[in-house]
Amino acid sequence: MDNEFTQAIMSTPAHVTSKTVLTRVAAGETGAMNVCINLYGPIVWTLVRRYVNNNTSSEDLVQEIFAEIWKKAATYDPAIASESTFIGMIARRRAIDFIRRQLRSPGLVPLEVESSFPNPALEASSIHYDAEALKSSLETLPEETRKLFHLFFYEGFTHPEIADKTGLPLGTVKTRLRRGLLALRDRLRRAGITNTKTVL
Amino acid sequence: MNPSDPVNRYNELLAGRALGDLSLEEERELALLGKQLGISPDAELELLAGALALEPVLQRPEPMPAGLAARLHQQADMIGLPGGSPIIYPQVPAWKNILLHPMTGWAAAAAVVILSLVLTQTEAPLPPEQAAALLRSVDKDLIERRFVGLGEFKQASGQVLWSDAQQRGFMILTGIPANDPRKAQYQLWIVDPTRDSDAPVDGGVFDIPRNGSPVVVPIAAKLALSNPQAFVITREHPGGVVKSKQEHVVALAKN
Repeated sequence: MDNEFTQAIMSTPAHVTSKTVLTRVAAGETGAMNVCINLYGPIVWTLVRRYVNNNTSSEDLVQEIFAEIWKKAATYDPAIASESTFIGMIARRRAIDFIRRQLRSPGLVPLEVESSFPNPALEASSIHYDAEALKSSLETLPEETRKLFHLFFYEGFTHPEIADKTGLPLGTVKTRLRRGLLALRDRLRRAGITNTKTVL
Repeated sequence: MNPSDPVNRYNELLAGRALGDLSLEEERELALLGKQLGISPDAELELLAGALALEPVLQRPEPMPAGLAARLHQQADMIGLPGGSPIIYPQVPAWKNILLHPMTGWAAAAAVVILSLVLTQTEAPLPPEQAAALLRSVDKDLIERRFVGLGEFKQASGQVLWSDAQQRGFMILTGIPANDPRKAQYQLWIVDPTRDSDAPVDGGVFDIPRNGSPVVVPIAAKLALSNPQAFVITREHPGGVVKSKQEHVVALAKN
C-alpha cells in the first residue's frame, strides 16, 4: 500500500470511502474484490496482527478472512452497519476463533474453515456510530472500566496481561469488561446510536 | 446487576462472546439460556466490540506484507471464473490441478488455506485418509461413522469423523449431486442426545462441486458437542435453515 492511500484511509471514515465496495463484490463486478483488498487489506491485517503474533498464521488468516468477505458480501446491508464495521467484525470473529482453537487444542492444526464462533443474527441489530459519539459514550463509563477498555481494545492486551498490569484478579477483569460492554451498549441505545429489534 | 437473574446472565454471556472470552462451559450455558428464555442472539454487542477494536486500527493501519497483498490480488483476479463455494475442498488430485491451473478464484484461495492447515505443515498436501489419520492420532476416542444415501440420494456415501476432545471433525463425501448454491445448499445436522434440546445441532452449510468427488467438508458445529449419535445431511435453501423440515434428507450416519 502506498503512502497516499494510507493517508486517504487514515483521514477518511471507511464507510465514506468505500460504501459500495461490498455491493460491487456481491454483484460480481470485475476488480471489485481488488478494490476491497486495497481498502480493507491494511485494516484486516492490522486487526489480525493484534491477535496473532505469528506472521505465517496471520497471513493465512487474512486470506481466510477475505475468502469469507467474498462469500458474505451479499449479506452486507449498509442500513445495519458500516462496511468497515462489517468487515472488522468478520476479521475479529475469525481472529478470536483462531486464538480460541489454539488455546483449546495446542499442538493440533486447525481442521475447520467455518468459524466455531456462534453467528448471531446481524439483521436483528444495527449500529451506526461516529467516532465522536462512541467516544462521548465511553467517557460516561467509570474510569476503571475505561482503563480496562483501553488496555483491551486499544492496547490489545489479553485478559491475563490486563490482570498482571492492573493487579485485578483474572475473573474480575473478565466480568468488568463484559459489564462495561453492556453498560456502553445501554448508553448508546439511550443516545439512539444503536438499536435492536430483539427484546432483551 | 443481579448475575443470578437469567436475563442478566444471558446478557453477560453475550458480552463474553463478543469479547471472545467464553469458556466451553459458558458457550453451552449461553445456548441453554437462549433456549430457555426464547431469545435469539443478535450481533449488536459483537458489532460494538468490533467497532471499539477497530478504532485504533483505523487510526494506524499497517501495510500488508507485499507477498500477501500480491497473493490476495492474484486470487481476486480469478473471481468470476468457474469455481465453487469457498468451503469445498476437493480431493488431492483436484487440489493439485487447482494449484497448477488456478481457475477457481476464491474457492481455490480458501482451499489453499484450509488444505495447508488440514494437511500438516509440510508442502505436500495430505489426502483425506491422512487427514483422518492425523485426527485419529490426537484422539483415540474419535467417532467415525459411515454415511448411507437415502431416497433419491442412494448413490451418496461417505464417512464422518468427529473428535469430541478437539471439537472438530470432517466428512469425506462421494456420490452427492453437485448443487447450484444459488438454488440449494447442503446442510449437516448433528444429533447429540446429551443436549437438553431435541433439535439437532447445525453442523454447517456446504456445497458439492461438479467435479470434486470425493470432497472433504469440515464440520462447523455451531454448538459444543458431546458424543453425537447421528449425522444427517439435508438439502436446504441457500444459506441453510435454522430448523430443517427434512424434505430432502440426503444421507444418514449413525451408530
